[in-house]
Amino acid sequence: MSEDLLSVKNLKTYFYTEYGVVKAVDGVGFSLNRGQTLAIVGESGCGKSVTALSLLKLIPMPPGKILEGEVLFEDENILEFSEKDLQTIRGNRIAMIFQDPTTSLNPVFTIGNQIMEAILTHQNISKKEARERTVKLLEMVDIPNAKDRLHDYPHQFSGGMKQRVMIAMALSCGPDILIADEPTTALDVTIQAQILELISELQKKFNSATILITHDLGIVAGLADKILVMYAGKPVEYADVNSIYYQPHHPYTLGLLKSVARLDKPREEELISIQGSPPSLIDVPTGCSFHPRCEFAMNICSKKVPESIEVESGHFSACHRVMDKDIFKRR
Amino acid sequence: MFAYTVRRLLHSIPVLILASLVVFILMQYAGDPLARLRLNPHVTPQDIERLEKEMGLDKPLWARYARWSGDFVRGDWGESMSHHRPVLELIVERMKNTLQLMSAALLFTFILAIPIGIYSAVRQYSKFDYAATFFSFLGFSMPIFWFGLILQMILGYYLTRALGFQLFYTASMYSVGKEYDLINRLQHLALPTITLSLAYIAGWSRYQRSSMLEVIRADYLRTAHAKGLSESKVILKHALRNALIPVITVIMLDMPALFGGAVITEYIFAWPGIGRLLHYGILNGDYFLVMGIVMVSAFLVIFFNLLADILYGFLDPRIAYK
Repeated sequence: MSEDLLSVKNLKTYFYTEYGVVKAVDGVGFSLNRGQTLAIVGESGCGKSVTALSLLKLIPMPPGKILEGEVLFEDENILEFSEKDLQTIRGNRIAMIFQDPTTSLNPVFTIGNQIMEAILTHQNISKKEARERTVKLLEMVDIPNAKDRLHDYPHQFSGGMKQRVMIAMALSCGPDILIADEPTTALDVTIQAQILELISELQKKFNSATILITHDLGIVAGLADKILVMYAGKPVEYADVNSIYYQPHHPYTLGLLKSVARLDKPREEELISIQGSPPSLIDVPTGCSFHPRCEFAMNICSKKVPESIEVESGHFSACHRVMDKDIFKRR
Repeated sequence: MFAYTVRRLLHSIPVLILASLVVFILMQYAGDPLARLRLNPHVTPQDIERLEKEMGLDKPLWARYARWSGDFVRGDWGESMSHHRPVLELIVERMKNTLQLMSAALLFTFILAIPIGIYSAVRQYSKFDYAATFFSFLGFSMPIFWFGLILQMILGYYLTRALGFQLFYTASMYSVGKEYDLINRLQHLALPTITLSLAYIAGWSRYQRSSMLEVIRADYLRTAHAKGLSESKVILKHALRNALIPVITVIMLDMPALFGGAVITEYIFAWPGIGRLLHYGILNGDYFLVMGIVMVSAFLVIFFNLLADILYGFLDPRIAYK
């Protein structure tokens, strides 16, 4: 296990609000190597973003608190780092891009200023060199007239262009890991593919690892090596991408897959949605938190939390009926 | 930017004309400028009649306004009846002193209120935050005249008795013969500055706090943290620049009020500024003097509004002046 670049074990992040304890991340674990892409998939509010933010301790504390777990980055537990040591990791070795590029860039500074700032914070180079590197980065993410656009403010860019700026900023120090938190959710569908392509292309170029957070299983298929499916703060299924698409072992994953439109299936086939909506993370159902929406639920599902079982080599699922192979057959 | 400024300056001309008209009409009903002379047994009715003719009081309202405004534009703001000197000359002379007090108060307020506001927001619900909240409400609710008197009593009188020498002075701008002694001037400046600043320290630190709190939750601050910037850089560069935008507006719009606050403060501390001049002018029915000072404050309101808009453009690149 120790050759993993990043290894997360039993991560628990709770928020203490006046309405109760929000168990946003409850025992998540995964591992990641160089050149790999891990996709974290789930509905809104299932704890994907909080998982990502917890990795760099970017959770507002209070009300948030990381209760348990380890985030081993090159065998060192980041969660035990001092704030100062964390700052040398953030943006330098592990960088992040966020969901909404429009609000994620500071409106009162030029984009050149914001990218150069990241470089100058972590690297001992002159302002001139930083500026040159910034121009190269902007060219790399296909921003035309990079040299002139350095002096432009975020509001002078379109949404897609802003996300490219965010990517350039995240890659400015050549990070080992890029965390992309729903990088295309706020963008036009036509732009989405371009941005995702850019991310995977640059990943190959830098030989870095990517954590891609999304609610869209459809975009994950071509990009990810591993998939972690989350539901109500808990990991429900974790496997490599082929294994999960070929044979899901959790009813929730099955539901997600059935709800994705496919070009290789007859057009008459109905898209099936998962009934109901995800539970509040304050008041999670007893037992398996998915049981109220699960079509295969049994008595035990509402009583006992299912353990994560290795169904096949490297394929984990947390479901009481995981051995009932027939029910997970994809039509 | 230049064209915008010029255009805004031109826009302010009709506003000034309207303001002058309103002030002029109100002054007409504020009382008879010759009332004092009429009560004086040594002034004959013939004298009064002559004065009325001389000052144009026998003419209709519009004619009087035309004459006054014509003179005003040419720099003849009339003669003060209580000081027997040209009004413009008096105002310029006193304005220097008022500006001294106002700038001291502005500087003092700014360097206290902004850091207090920032720290309160960054450490929200801390002891410091609660203390700042408590004192700002105290500052808000304290009347200027009362607070000034209390300061004079405690820091001027009791402290002097306890120390055996005068640390703070309670009246005038400098001791006789010490006009060029900076320390002596600061000793005189301290108490009126604190008095004048109090309410504004309370107000601006509140504004700074709430605007900072709003910015602290912004996505771009999360980005700044994720870049690996230090906490101080995140707060003092990324957050402050955004949080200052609304605060600057409030500060600029408070400027004319600060000018107004100076009237009371100057009176309490015998500060020979424009506030005391106005107070004196009103009490003595000094028609032209009051008109002149009110027009100056109308100028100030318009000037600081313009300044606020221009500063806005510097602070926020999203605002374009076309």
